[in-house]
Amino acid sequence: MQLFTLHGDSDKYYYAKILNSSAPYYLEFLDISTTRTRPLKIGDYAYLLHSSNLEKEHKEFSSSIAGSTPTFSQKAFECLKELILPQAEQVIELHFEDRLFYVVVPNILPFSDDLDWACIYRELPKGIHFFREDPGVYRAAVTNTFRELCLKNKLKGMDFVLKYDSEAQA
Amino acid sequence: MKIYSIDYKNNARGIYYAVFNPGPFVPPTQEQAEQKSQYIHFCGPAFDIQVSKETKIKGEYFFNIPFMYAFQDLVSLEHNQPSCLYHQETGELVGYHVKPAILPNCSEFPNYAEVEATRPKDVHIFLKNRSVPGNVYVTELFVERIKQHHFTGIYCIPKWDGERVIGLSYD
Repeated sequence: MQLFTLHGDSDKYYYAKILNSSAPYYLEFLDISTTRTRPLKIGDYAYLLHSSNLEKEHKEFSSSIAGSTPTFSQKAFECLKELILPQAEQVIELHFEDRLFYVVVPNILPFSDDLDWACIYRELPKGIHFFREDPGVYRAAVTNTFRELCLKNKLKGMDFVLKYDSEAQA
Repeated sequence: MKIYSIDYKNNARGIYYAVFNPGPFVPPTQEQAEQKSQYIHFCGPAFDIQVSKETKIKGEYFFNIPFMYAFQDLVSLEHNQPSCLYHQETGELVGYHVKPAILPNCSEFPNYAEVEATRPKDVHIFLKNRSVPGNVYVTELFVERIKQHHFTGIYCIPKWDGERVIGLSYD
């Protein structure tokens, strides 16, 4: 089994901004570079440049949502929901044009040492492929099952950083 | 018509932290427009306007004199409310203050099709969302004018091609 942290590929894909502070929430995709002159793409995974609007009226969001909280396109959400919904602390719908995006806050799982990926691998309950290992992080940790599902469905805009490979350790 | 987001590159030369005195809009003359401006062509909220002895307000968008001369037919007196900006010490005209238009018949969080359907024909620089001042958009005519006059330091990213959102890659 492999464990990865899940990030957005912001070299090729737009950042997103939540525009308002009460449901229904609206999303816009933004250029933030002052040197880039070519448009980026809107991916299946968005890095939230501004999530603070959520916090203004919903204090319960403030501790769990930040820029790197996973935000999926509707296509990605449909492809991944069997893996992410059982492990979602919160799901928030975001509107963009005639499409939907979803902010998904992963559950925090307890590990005896959440800085040690070998420990996380040993203690990760079977069947869990999407989680957070530490309350101080906002991005998700995922397994190779999650990554392979993303690759199989050609989901774009995600960047997986390998943290642990049990076969390599063996 | 195509819709673009607009921003400016590098620094807001001559504008950052500057405070200008406002005055009623007087279109620039060709003679004024032909003089080299020491100020950046176009920039966003980086300057203040002294509206009374004690009160300063944040400026919105700055057009220098050559830029306003080139764009005066694309700036709506009604919707963009242009005004002159004068140097506080010399009283010299330095440029113009322009407000991005708020589309009057548009919902607060419209899609691009609604923006284009409700945009008054004389509006070429506007807010897509009236409550989100940072999201400023311009029309294809505005972008063509930038290219025609070779104004540098401004970048425009296509967002709507007239029928579809540009950049969607996930379906």
